[in-house]
Amino acid sequence: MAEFAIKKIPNDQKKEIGLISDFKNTDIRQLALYDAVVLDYTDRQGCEAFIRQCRGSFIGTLYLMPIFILSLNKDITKTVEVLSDGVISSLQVEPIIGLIDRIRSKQQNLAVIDSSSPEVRIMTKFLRYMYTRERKIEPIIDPKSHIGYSYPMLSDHYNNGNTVEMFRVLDNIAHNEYARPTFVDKLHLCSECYSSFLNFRETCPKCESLDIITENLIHHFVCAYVGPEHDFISDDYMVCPKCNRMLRHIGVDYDKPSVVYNCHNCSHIFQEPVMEAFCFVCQKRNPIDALIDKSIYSYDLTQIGEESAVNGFGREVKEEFDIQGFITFTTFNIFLKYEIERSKNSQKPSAVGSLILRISSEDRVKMGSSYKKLMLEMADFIKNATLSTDILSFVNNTTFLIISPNNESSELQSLLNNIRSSMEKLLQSSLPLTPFKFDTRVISITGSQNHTDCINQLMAN
Amino acid sequence: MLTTYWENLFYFLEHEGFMRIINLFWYYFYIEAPRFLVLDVLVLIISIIPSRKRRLNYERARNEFLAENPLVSIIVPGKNEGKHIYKLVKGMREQTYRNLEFIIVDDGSNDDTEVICRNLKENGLIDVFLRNEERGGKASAANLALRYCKGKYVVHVDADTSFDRDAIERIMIPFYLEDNVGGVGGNIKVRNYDESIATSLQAIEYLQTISVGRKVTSFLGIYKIISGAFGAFRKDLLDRLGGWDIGPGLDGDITVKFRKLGYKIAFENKAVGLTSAPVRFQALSNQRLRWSKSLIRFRLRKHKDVFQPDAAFNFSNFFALFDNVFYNLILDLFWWYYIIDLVLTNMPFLMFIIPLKFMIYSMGTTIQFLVVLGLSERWRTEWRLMYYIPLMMIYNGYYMRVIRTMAYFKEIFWYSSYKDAWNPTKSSQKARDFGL
Repeated sequence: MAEFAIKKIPNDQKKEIGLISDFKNTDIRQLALYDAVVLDYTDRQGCEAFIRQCRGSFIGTLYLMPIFILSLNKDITKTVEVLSDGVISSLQVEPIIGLIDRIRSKQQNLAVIDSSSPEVRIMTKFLRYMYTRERKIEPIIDPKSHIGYSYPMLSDHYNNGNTVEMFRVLDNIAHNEYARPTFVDKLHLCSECYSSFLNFRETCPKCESLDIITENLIHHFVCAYVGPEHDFISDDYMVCPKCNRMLRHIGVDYDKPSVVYNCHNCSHIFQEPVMEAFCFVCQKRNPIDALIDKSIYSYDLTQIGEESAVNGFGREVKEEFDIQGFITFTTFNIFLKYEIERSKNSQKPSAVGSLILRISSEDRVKMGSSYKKLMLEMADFIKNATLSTDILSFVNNTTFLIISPNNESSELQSLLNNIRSSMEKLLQSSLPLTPFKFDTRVISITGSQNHTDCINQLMAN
Repeated sequence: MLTTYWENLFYFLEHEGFMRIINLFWYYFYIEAPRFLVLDVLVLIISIIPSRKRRLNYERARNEFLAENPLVSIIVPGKNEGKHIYKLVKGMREQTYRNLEFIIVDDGSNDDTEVICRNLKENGLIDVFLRNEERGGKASAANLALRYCKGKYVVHVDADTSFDRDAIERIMIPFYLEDNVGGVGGNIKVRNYDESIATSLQAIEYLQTISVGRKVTSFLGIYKIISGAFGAFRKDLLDRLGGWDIGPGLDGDITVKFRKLGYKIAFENKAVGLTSAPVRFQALSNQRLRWSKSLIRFRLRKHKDVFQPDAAFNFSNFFALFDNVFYNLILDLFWWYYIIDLVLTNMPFLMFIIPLKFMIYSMGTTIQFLVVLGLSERWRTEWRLMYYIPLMMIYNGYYMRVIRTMAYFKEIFWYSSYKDAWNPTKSSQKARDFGL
């Protein structure tokens, strides 16, 4: 049945262009047989689900497939518009042939990449899509998204709970200069779940109650009485409760020098309520200064990004190494979270630290396989220098993370300093002409921290 | 030549005789000395005579107060007082009495007061901080604090005043010593007494007129001004009165209003607050011009009904204000006649009269100062001020009289207190329109 769900659109150039109207009965694997497909937008929901399914795939021929939308009035959703290669209003496909050829010819340049790392696969996809389409990736406003924005090629890989992972990939892309970020917007996100679905509200500074009211103060010039507006209201008039004179004219008889808040819960009087951001997703009451500020960018492919899109990151160079004794970043996060929890109940000190090698992406590319060799040597040294109880991770090909249970931060700092000086000697002898430097950071673990904040501090540029 | 002068002086004294000398300085011997010197000495004698009844009564009142443990609201209205607030708040935390509510009202400050106070509030050192973006004057700021304070008693303090550890406890006890006490004035002394000659002289003046002078008037039942720097009031009565009216001189005004309600006003000289006095004579002159104008504005104009023999006439209130008006206004103006007459009729003897007057005045002031020391808890440090007593004749006898006379004329003929920048124009204008 699926074979008949795709209809061929005849054209002069003999391109295999399929028309899909029945999305339920179409198997996306069939698309591999076509040069391009046109999706009938009559079934809007089916069309959007189908195009997302295509772009969400990890198979290059599917997510890079030239896809056009057939819509008479061109009234399509932003997501569909961004995920498609164009909108046509008739089955005259000749105008889009040129574009199909360009995409296909660029596709032919792409080398085969074999990686099991989800992060690398997503980055590859992201860069290759930009490369073949010669266009930037822009975030679109998406009320259904946790953060209010989505990156159509990326967001489908991360459910709302994994927003932090998505930002990490984007930061990684920008940090390694694969794509050039351009500022779009700034978000304030829940410190617990990274949601931007927040309700900003005023609370009582004493009891945190939301049941507060605000009222103007009135100053009656003649008798110097000052009180809230309701003290003066008498039927339809305003009469001073002290001298019984009628207040007729603002600025002449009275003025309103300020406002006061009154808490109905604890009767506290104040003028500066405490603002908080209530998260509708995880229901956390965030103090305003605890919110995570995150900038949203659009991304343009750079030369490094283009090379990486075509040739891959060079598995031996760019892909995250699988080093024995070093856990993945995701697992490290979980361990850190547990360590923070543990420190709540235990009085024993504990620390987490990072050692980051600052070296330009170009230099790393130039070094090729010797970079991995160097990293493995460093990893080996770190493993031997640390305790067996220390938890190690290697991230972004440049960063070593260490949780040191039962150690003071000063001890970890001194350990990292020793490692750094040894590493510097090693690199100076191995790479005499390459500029580099090491950064070390250590945070003492207390029960009140958030593991994401700790990671952000440790890995900040 | 010096020998000749002394010979002539003794001849003058011998020739004039004792009564002639008394009559020559009648103003001092018949008017000032009985009112200020004799009464001071009498009060000292009464105070230092041990009285078991008085001691037991005081103990009972103190116990009653501590057992009740009422909430006391400390209100601090002011503009640009941020620099003093931290010290004040820290000092208040040292008080022996703990059930305090601390309310600060910033009356449209244009310095860092708001930032400082908000910070203190966040750190829990202040209970309520309210700021008026538009300046309304001291009375309006005090009334705003009154509107939101919750204490049974309200203590009005100036931000630049600091207090003995037991000051709040002490100022509360008179409410429990007698029935019907509506307000209690605290004892204000000069903190920076050694900063300049002006502050040293003011320190002596404060000791004489406040520490002892108010003890005397309180003893006689004619105490009529609870200082704005440190005064305690019953909150229910303040609410009845609607708080303070527009100043300057609002502290004296509210005291009279309490008296008119029929409540007693007490003075507690053991409740001590220290304030910063103006360091320069120019600033002191401006301050005293303002204070003296309020005598005309409030005593003679606003509260003139106290002198009218109608149904609401009260002897105690009459004498309280009469004492004030008679000694500070009438006799002050009369003094000019006295001094001019003294000079004109005794022109050839001025070289003898001036040192004689100086000697008599200084002796009187010394006796008064000994009374002060006898009643003071700080006599070990305050006795050093005696070196400045010779200057007190010029300070009290001439300088202050000139200032007062200027103030009276300015107020009587030009209503100049209504033009004082101490209050915003919008309030002063209304007060003038309504004769307040």
